[in-house]
Amino acid sequence: MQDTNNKAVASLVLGILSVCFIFVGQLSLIGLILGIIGLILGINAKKESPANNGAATAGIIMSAISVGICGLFLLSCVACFGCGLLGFMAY
Amino acid sequence: MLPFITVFGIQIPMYGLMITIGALAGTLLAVYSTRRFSREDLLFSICYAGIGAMVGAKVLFLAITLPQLIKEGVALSWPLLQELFAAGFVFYGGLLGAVAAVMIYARKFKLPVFALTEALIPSVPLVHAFGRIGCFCAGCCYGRPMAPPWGMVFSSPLAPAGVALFPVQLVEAGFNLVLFAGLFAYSRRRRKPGQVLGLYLAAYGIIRFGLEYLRYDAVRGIALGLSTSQWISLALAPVGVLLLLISGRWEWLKRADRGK
Repeated sequence: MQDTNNKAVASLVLGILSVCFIFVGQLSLIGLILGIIGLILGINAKKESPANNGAATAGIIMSAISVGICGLFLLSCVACFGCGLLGFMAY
Repeated sequence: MLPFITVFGIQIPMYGLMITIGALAGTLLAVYSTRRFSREDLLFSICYAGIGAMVGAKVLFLAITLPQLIKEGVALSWPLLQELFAAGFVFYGGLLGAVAAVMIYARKFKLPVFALTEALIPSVPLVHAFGRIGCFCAGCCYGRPMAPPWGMVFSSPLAPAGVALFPVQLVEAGFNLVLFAGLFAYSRRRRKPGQVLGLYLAAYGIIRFGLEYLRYDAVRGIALGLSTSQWISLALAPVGVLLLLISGRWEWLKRADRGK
C-alpha cells in the first residue's frame, strides 16, 4: 500500500514537472521523458489501488497532457530527420 | 504543402498535429467499439501502446542511423543529440513496440493478451493514415520523380526543389484507410486469438513491401537491394499468415488469451 502511494505521489510530481517543461522550448524533450515515466507510475498505482487514488489520477492526466503536447511539437518521421542529419554529415 | 499552421501565434507542425488527431480518433474508436474491456483498461493500454510505439520507433531508428553516423565520423554535440532523440521515428519499430507494450500491460494485469491487443489493432492503420497525410503536408516520405499528372512539386525544404515527385504518402494513407475499414469490419465478430493481428501483419507487410519501391527519400537503410522496411515486411508478413493459419489451434495462443 505504501509502495502504491509512493508511486502515485511520484506520478503527480513528475506530471507537474513535465507540464512545466512544455513551455521551455527545446527542453520539452525532458518533459516528454518525465511525462512517460509519470504516466507509467500513475497507471501502475491506479491499477494496484483503484479506489481513493486521486494523486495517481491527477498524475496520469497531467503526464498524458504533457506527453501529448510535447509529442505534438517534437515528433517527426524518419525522412524529416534525414534532412536534419545531412547538416551534421560531411556531405 | 503546409508543414506548419499558426494558431494564436504558435507555430504547430502539421505532422505532429495529424498524428495527434489520428491518435485521438484511434483512441475514441477503440474505447467506443470494444465492450469486452473496461474503458479504463483500454485507455491505460493505449497509453502503454503510445509509450511502446515511441520507444520502439526510436530504438529501430537509432539501430539504423548510429552505425551510419559512426562510419561518417560525425562529432557528438547537443544539437545532434536533440535531433537524434526528438526527430526520426520508424513506423515498424513503433508497431512492434506498441504491440509488445500492450502485451506487457495485459500480462501484468492478468487480461487476455491477444484479445486486448486485437481490440486496438483496427486503430493502428487509422492512426497511420493520418500520419501519412502529415508526411504529405510536411513534404517528407515522398515518392520517385514522375512527370505530372502523377508527380507533383513539393514546396518543402525536406523534398528536392523543383522536381515533380510521386505523392506515395497519399497512396499509403489510402491503403491504410482501406485496411482500417477491412479490419474494423473483420473484428466486429469475435475472432480466434491471433486472427486480427495476423491479418493486419500480412496485409500491411505486403502493401509496405510494394510501396517501398516507389519511395525516394534518402534514409532507407538499404541492404542487399532491399530497404529496412522491406526486410521487416519480409519477416512480418509470413508471421501474419502463420498467425492466421494457426489461430485457435495452438494451446499457448489459447492460454495467452485466457488472462485471469
